[in-house]
Amino acid sequence: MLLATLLLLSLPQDPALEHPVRLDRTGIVWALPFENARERARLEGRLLAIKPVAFGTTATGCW
Amino acid sequence: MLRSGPFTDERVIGLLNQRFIPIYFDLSSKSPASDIDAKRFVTQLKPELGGSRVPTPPVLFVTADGELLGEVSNYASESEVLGALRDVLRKNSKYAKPSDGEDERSRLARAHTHHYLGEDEEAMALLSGPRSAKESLFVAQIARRAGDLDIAEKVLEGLDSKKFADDIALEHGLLAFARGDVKTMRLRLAAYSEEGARAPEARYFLGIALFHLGEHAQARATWKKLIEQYGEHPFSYRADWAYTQTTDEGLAAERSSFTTQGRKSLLGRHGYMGRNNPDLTRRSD
Repeated sequence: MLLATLLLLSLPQDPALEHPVRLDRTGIVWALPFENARERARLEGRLLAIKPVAFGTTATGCW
Repeated sequence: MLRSGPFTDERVIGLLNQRFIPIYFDLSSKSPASDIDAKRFVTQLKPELGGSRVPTPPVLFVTADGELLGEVSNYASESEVLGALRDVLRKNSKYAKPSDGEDERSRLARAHTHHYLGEDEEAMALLSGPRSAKESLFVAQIARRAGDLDIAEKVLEGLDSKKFADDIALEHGLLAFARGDVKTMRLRLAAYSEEGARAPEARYFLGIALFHLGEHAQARATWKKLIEQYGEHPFSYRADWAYTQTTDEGLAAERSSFTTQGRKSLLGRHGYMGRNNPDLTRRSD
C-alpha cells in the first residue's frame, strides 16, 4: 500500500492540472508546457502563437 | 484585453485551435504559469521582454525553429487579431494546411473553418441549397459579420421562431446593434431565456444596449449579475471589462489600463483590459 502510494506520488503530473490554464474558459486549447507545444508545432506543421504575460498571472489564472 | 475582447470571438478561438499551437506563460519565474523554456525562447526573439520592467508583450507567431513571422498587440481589437492571424497564414501558407481528417467533418464544421480563415464565399458555397436550421443560423451570422444585414434578417425570418427562439433573439439583437438600433437590440436580447446556451453573450449585449440607452446603472447591474452567475466565462471577462470602464453615470472619466496594483475588477483582474472598449464607445464616437 505504501509502495503504491509512493509510486503514485512519483508519477508525472499533467501540467494542465497544476497550471492556472485549468481555469481558462476562453475555449482556446492552450498547449503546455512549452517544449510539448514546440514539438507539436514541428510534427503538425503549425506556427506557435505565443502569448507571454508580463507578471500578471496569479494562482487563479488571472491575466 | 485579449481575454475580454478578441478571445471572446469564435473566429479567433477557432483559428488559434485549428491552425496554430497556442501557448501562454508568465514571464515571472514566481508565477504558477511560468515556463523557463518558453521564456528563454521568447527573450531570444524579444530581448526587451527579459527584464523586470517590460513593455506589454504582444502575441507572437513563431516557427518551432524560432523564426518570428508576425505579432499582434495585446491591445488589438477583435478584427485586428483576426486579421493578423489570417495574414500570417496567408503569407506562410505551408503552416495553413488542413489537419488530417478535416475534410471528413460535417459541411457546417468545414464552413466554420472557411469563415474563420476569411473564405466566406467557400463557406456560403458549402451551405448552398437545402439547409438545416443550424446551418441557416450560421449563414445569418456570416452575412451579419459581412455587413449584409438585410440578407441576415431574411435568413432569420425563415427559421422556426418557436423552436429557435433564443438563437433568433440573439441574432436579431446583434443585427440591431449593427444597425445602431439599441432600442430593438434591448427588446430582442431581453427575450433571451436564462436557459439558452448563449445566455452570457445575450446578457452581456443586453447590458451594452442598456448602457447606450443611458440606463448605466442597470447596465452595470446586468454585467455584475452575469459575472456572479457565470464566473469564469468569456462573456464574464468581457462584462468585467465593461464594468471597469463605466460608472453609474456613464463612461468612467479615468478608464484604467494595465496596472499590477490598485483597484481590482469584479473578477479580481488588475489590468490587461485596455482603455477603450469598442462596445461602449461605438455609438458615442
